[in-house]
Amino acid sequence: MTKPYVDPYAVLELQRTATAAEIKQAYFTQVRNHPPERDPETFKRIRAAYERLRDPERRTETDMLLLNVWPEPARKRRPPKLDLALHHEDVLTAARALTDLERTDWREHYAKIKL
Amino acid sequence: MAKRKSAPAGKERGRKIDKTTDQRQQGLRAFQAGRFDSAITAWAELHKRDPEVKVALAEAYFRRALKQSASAEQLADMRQATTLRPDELRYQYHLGLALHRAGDLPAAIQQYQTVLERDNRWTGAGMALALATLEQHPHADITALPSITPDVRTAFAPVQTLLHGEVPPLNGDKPIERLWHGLGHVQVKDAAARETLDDSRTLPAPPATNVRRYYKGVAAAQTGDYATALRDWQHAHAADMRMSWLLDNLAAVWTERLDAQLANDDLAGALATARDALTVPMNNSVLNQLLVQTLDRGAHAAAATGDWSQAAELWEGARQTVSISSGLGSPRPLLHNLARAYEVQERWSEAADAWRAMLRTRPRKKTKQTDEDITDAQWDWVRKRIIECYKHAGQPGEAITLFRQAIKADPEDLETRLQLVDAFVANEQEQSAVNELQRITDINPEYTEAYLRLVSIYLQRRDWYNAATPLQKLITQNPQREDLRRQVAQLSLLHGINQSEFMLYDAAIKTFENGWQFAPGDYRFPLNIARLLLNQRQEQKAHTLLEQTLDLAADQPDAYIQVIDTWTIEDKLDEVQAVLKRAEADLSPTAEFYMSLGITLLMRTTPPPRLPSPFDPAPPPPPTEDEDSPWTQMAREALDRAVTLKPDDPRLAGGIAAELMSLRPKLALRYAEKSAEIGPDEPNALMLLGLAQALNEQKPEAKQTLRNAARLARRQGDTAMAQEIQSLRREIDSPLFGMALQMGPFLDDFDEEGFDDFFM
Repeated sequence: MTKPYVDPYAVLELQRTATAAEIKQAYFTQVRNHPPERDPETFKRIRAAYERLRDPERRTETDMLLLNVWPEPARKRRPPKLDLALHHEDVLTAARALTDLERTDWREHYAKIKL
Repeated sequence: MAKRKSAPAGKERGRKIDKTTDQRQQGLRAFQAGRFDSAITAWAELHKRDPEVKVALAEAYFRRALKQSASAEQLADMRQATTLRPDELRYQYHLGLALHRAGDLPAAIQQYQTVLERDNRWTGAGMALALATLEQHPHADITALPSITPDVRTAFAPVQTLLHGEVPPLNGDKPIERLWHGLGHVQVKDAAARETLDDSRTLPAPPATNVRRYYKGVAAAQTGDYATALRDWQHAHAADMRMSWLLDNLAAVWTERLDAQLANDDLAGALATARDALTVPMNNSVLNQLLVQTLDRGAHAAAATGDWSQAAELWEGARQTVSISSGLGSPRPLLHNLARAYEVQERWSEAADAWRAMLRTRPRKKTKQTDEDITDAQWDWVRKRIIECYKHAGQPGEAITLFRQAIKADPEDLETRLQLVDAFVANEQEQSAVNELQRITDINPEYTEAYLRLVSIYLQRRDWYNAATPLQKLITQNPQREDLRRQVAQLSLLHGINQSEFMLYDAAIKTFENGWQFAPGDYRFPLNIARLLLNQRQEQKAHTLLEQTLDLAADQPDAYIQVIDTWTIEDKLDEVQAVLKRAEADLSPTAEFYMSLGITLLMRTTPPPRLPSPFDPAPPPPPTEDEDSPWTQMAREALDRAVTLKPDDPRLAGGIAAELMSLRPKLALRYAEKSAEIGPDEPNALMLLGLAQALNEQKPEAKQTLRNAARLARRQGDTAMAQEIQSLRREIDSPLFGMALQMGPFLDDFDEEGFDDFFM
């Protein structure tokens, strides 16, 4: 186990497109809700998240290191349907059991060679 | 002579006979050992004149064919056997089977008929003929076939019944009889199918067993038991059944299951389903979309708990799923995450590979869609990251090698060539980078990115002349690109300043004038040209340009300070006053503006301190302070104004004191006192005051002030600072102390940022 992933935007309850002012505002809101003296661990996480976003250069780096979420499809496609019919191809495949096509032991067809 | 001649001829013949016997026996030994290749080689020529060997050779081909699986080689061997012995029905029959397996039904039917024409009791041929006929035409009437025996008719009757959509009767309890009956039940969706097909006895051929297993699943699904159905279908797939309806049914069950699990936030269940589904790779976009979604969610959850190994495994599965699917979109987000997961685990080579794979998803041509996706700067970041990862992996040259290989495969791929350039730069191989960029521009003289890199490399080398040519070309190619115009302007600015430093004033003016065209709103161009013109005594022109400077930057305090600085150098007090008046009219000058103004004036009008001489052990005297000069008066007024505008801010007065410490110690003391007065509880303000006192030869007062400052710092819990102040206090009596302060090292510690830190 290594360090768990933390999305600083999620910690500050922000969209990834948030402006600098919104980041600052969100930080203060979070600190008000989780003051260090009452909730030191949460405060630490909030502070760390803010540190990663407050400086524009560091924010660019942070943004590139964020994990991406696989997008859900814009429209839901029709799921595949069950096919519960009997297929003739399968009947004929099974009928191979009536023939020698799958047989592998042909010793009885060997001829004795003498020279 | 004749005798002498005939003796060797006889010997020769004898040798030939020996050789022939050898080959016959050699072939036989190989044949008996099952080495049919060797037997065929030994008999290849001999069979033409030896009928026994011909029979043996045909058998060798036949036996070799039987050893092979269905293939072109098997068919060729069977044909050889029948060609050598067309009368041998065994060979004809097996050639029919081989053709049948190869899917050549008309030829197989022909062979079976040949066998049956000569021996209609050959049941195997009759059965195979019946099957091949039905495979060609499922509704053919096999009873009409010549030479078909009643046994064959009986055996194929249920098959024909099924092909006609009916349920064959259960004539006995043999596994094959139950299979036909069960399939009939499935056909008419009779629930009895489940029981009929629930038969574990062995069928004569594995494909039939697989069919039974699959339809057992279908029968279960017809009654709504999808769990059993899924299990049976998975078994059928594991036993190599690959019919499209099997894959479709597996996809349908897994899709339905995943959909429900994701909707119920049952991530663990969804992951188990996904892992199951991954064992059957299939190109079903709906299922694969759900799979990727599930794996991605699982990976995020694993990453959130720090289990990056698990996260990487899941993202790798998702990436592979996207790679076999059509219409799922770019794997870029997954590759990005995968690269990060490998990085966190310090699996640098794999991380580099993942970043590279991500880079390959970059579209060659920009479209509206991709423009919004990742910016050019972010792609640059990815490139650098690849190189970084290879460096961490201890393979700094790896990136270069990989990019070179890619270029070898596709020399026209300019994008990869650009990546190679970045790798060269990262590996400090600048000349190789320049060479590669030149190759790129040879291939495509319009390739903007290459010129930009070239400019960037030259600028880093401060090679203005070489940078100018590609930049000019860029502008010619893209006259409207604002970013390029800005770069040309910036380059011109740097180049002009460089020329000025080398006293190439005329050239510098031309460079600035050229650059100004590309950034007509940038006040630094007229300002710099004006400064150079003043240097050449062209005051009128300079005056006009400085007016233009202020027109362009009417709202920028720094521009006013720069113009004031310029006039101060020229000793033009009236011009300075005029500019200040204009600033006060146009701007609402802040405390910081007045502080900059005062310090600028003093810096330009105070003679520099004398450097200590190695031949004179006495410290140099402090700089002369002309308290009454109009420049000093104006500066002091500006500084006082600054302090008045921020009467409660000890940092401002302290900042002024710090700036003036080596320049004008007396004035520094004045502002240090002011700072300590405003912030009596600030250890920094007191420390600054102590230092200013020491510099003004008020050593006892300085010691006392520093003692108070140290005590204050200690009381506030800043022991490090208290120690630092104490150490300064101990140095006060040293002759080097005053000299050091006058020469300015002290100021390095008290730059604006540092000072802010002290007070924050």
